[in-house]
Amino acid sequence: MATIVAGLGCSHAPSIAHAYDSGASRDPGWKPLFDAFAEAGRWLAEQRPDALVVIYNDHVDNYSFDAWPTFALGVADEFQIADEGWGPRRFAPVPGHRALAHHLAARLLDGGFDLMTSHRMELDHGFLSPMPLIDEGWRIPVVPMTINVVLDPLPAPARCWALGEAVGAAIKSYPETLRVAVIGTGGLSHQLTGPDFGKVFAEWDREFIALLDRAPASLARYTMADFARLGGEHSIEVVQWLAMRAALPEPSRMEFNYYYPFGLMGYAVAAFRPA
Amino acid sequence: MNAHDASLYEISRLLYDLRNPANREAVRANPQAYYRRYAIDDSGMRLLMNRDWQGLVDAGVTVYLLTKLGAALGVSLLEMGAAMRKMSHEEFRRFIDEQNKRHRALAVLPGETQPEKP
Repeated sequence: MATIVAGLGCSHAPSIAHAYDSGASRDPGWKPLFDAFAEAGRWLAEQRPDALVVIYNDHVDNYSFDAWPTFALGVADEFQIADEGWGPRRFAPVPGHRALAHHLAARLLDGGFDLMTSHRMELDHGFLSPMPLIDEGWRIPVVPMTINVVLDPLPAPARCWALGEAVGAAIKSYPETLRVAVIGTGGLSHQLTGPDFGKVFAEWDREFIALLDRAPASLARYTMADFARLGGEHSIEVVQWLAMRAALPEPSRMEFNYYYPFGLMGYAVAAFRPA
Repeated sequence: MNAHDASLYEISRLLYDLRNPANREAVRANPQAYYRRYAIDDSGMRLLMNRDWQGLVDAGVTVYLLTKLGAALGVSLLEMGAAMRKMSHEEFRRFIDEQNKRHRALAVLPGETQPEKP
């Protein structure tokens, strides 16, 4: 039987990737965030996960509008690095945990989530911005999973929460001994269009983290429009955090959280562990 | 984005196709000729040729696709943002710097004492 040993929520903005690739991660502006990620990476390694289920969203880098999935799961042995317009970042393909992925796909369909499975998937910054900071060198195989927050119609946060619960149950029913961590990436507040471009909603971000700590299920009652109003149009990515948190066994609690409102974003990294 | 608008779908498709380096080269060399490969209506063509970022957003194009055109043409997200705010690059920088300062007290970082929760 597999066990869920940890949960991690984190931001995935392309700016993190730019800072990592350019070496700006040691500059005074970026260092606090990279220190926070380094601590999260150390903490995750201490939980000794054998596989990572990474819930994120694609930004029209892998899927196109010819076929756009609401929920999708990568079921390949390895995953390629996307070219988002600047050329692919210089990473080796990311190893997949195919047995766990196939198990999750089957159990989720049994449980009423008719998701798409992908046998060839390119990972974009939704995955690749944070993951080198968390598991540099790809030591732990992954199962990538995406939730649509880009193309209307969007799934309701309550549905994303339910998906997370189903992911948690599916992991636990995996027949072999396996230590699994669930990671949700996106957000927090950002607004990348219109007269409020660049506005960061720091008070709401802090409240969001506090709610995720003390009353996570209450966040499933928010609508996508609520999240867009409270944290900016593009902050609706926080549903990836909801799905991650819903996948964890009850009770779980927040181990630590870091928050850094900087530039165009409210950046955050938060760790959760079954109590 | 409203996926039922044919021209909007085409704009999104031409932006998505910029994942291919040959298409990035083509749009840099001759933007209009590249756009004409797709079934774009006149208003869509105007928005693209004018680099009207907010107009494209208002038409329903996601910013995640606009950044691909920005990558090909050498326009940063910050430059797009300044244009959308109708600010100069310098004014936008100042806004961001002031916002950073205003929010610094709300940060929670390794090695710092955690401030009171708001």
